[in-house]
Amino acid sequence: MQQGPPSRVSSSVELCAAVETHEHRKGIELLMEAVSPNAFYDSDNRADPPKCHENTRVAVITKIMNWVTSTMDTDAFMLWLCSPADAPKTDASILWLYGPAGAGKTAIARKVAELCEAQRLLLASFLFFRSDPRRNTMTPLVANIAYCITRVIPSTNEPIKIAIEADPLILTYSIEVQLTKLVFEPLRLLADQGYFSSEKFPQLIVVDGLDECLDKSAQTNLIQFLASSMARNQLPLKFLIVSRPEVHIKSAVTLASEQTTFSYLELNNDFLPDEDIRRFLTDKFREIKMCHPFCSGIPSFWPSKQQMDELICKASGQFIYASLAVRFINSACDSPMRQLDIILGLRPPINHDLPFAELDALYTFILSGTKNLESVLDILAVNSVLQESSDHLPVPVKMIEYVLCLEDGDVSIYLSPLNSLLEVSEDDDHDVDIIFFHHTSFTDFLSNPERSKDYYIDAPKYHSLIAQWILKMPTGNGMYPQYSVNLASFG
Amino acid sequence: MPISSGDQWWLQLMNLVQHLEHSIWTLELEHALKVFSLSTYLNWFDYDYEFDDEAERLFCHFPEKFLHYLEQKVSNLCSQTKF
Repeated sequence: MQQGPPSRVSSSVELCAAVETHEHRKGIELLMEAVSPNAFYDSDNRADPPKCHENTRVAVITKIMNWVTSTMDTDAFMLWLCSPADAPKTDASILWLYGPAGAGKTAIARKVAELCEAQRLLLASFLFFRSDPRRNTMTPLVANIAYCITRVIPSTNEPIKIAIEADPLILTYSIEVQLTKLVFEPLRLLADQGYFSSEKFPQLIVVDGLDECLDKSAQTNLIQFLASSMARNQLPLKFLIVSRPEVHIKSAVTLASEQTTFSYLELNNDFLPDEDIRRFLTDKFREIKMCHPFCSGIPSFWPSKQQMDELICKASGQFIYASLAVRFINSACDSPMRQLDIILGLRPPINHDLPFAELDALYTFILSGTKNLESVLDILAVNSVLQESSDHLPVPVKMIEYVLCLEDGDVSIYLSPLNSLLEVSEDDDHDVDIIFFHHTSFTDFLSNPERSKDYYIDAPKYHSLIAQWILKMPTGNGMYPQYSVNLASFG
Repeated sequence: MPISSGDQWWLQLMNLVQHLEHSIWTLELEHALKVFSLSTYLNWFDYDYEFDDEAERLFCHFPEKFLHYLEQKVSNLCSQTKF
């Protein structure tokens, strides 16, 4: 029998029953039920969770640790001497670490959490992950943080338990209310009792992969709320927020930095990722040559310098690429030499065994979250086809706008949700705006139907579109620039 | 030596035949070809661009390449009066 919507009376009866049921249970039990057990930095349920290879990412990790311990490093000191306003703020209560997709942010966040835990500086951690339904939502965030706090500072156990027992449905309320009642108020109580006056205390809360929470407005609300709460509560806490540089997060951070002291750290080429990737690959190839089931057939000079350079070039600073490549090459089902050739495109994959399935899932996830997907794919396709037909010369975005009949600036607007994969900016050599891809593997992905599926660039369709644009040009409305031609410059 | 943005524009426009060869045949493309005037196109190029020797050579070969493409693609060239 079909049931109608519950009446107001029956729903309030149900609510009372729910509250009564909750009241009979202990607050900590309710808290534990709300926790997402895989979201702690050391409980990632993935088969091979991201981790930093030994002696890599040293500079960036040192910078973050200096911020946690409020130590000014030499670079910061020099910058402070020259320009105090631009120097990184070691006393900032929130540090936003951002960088392109697959750059190794989660591995860094986990390493920092691990180091801080060893030094008794870690208070809590929460790692979002897009494919885990209990980690791609904001719902368990506060429960996880509160649970960690009760474990690290046992004296918070009682106030948090009391807060939950006084209002057993509190864990269903807004994140703001939960954070206030279960994190800030208990810690404030402790601060008033002088707990934080000791020299060293756990103060770092790591929130990694904020952009992997599926609700974008929840992401910005969290940043806003943390900023205002930190300013209001004056607690000696530090939040490390890690994410891709998504536009909405950037805007929220800019706005929030007016309320509290924010520090920013971009995971860019200044940290020389290629050198770290080379170190990682060298160590891994050494292991493969020693331990792989088919290692007896591998010559000592493998891989060649050229192969190594090509692999590093293909990674384009992406640790995820290097780590997936190694996992594929090291798979026990085939010769590592043959697997490396597949990665470098010298052989087709056997049995449709795709080496970069995880990377493809990441690209698919980012693309699936973009608005105006059709236009975005048109732009990427026209760029790719034009680049291909001109021996990979950079393509002015204005040309793409003309081909697709877009308005001036539309390419930048449409592509802004993809700024963890690419950016539109001026090319110094050519004095025009072009699309810079952070990862060469992204264009490989788009041009391979098995990898990109619905997002595949169907080149003939776009050749046709470009041909029509050129054919109509002399009778068009003058939408083309006048230039002199000097083909000597093509050499 | 860096390639100027102008060169990229010119090169793409000269790549018409290459784009046509890789195109899927659509009604829109057929229509664009029907209303296309090679002489207007060449005049427009000649008028708007200053060529060096190498560019001039490529430019001179363009009509030949274009007509060769059409011969292969379009069955009844006589109906394309504008060519």
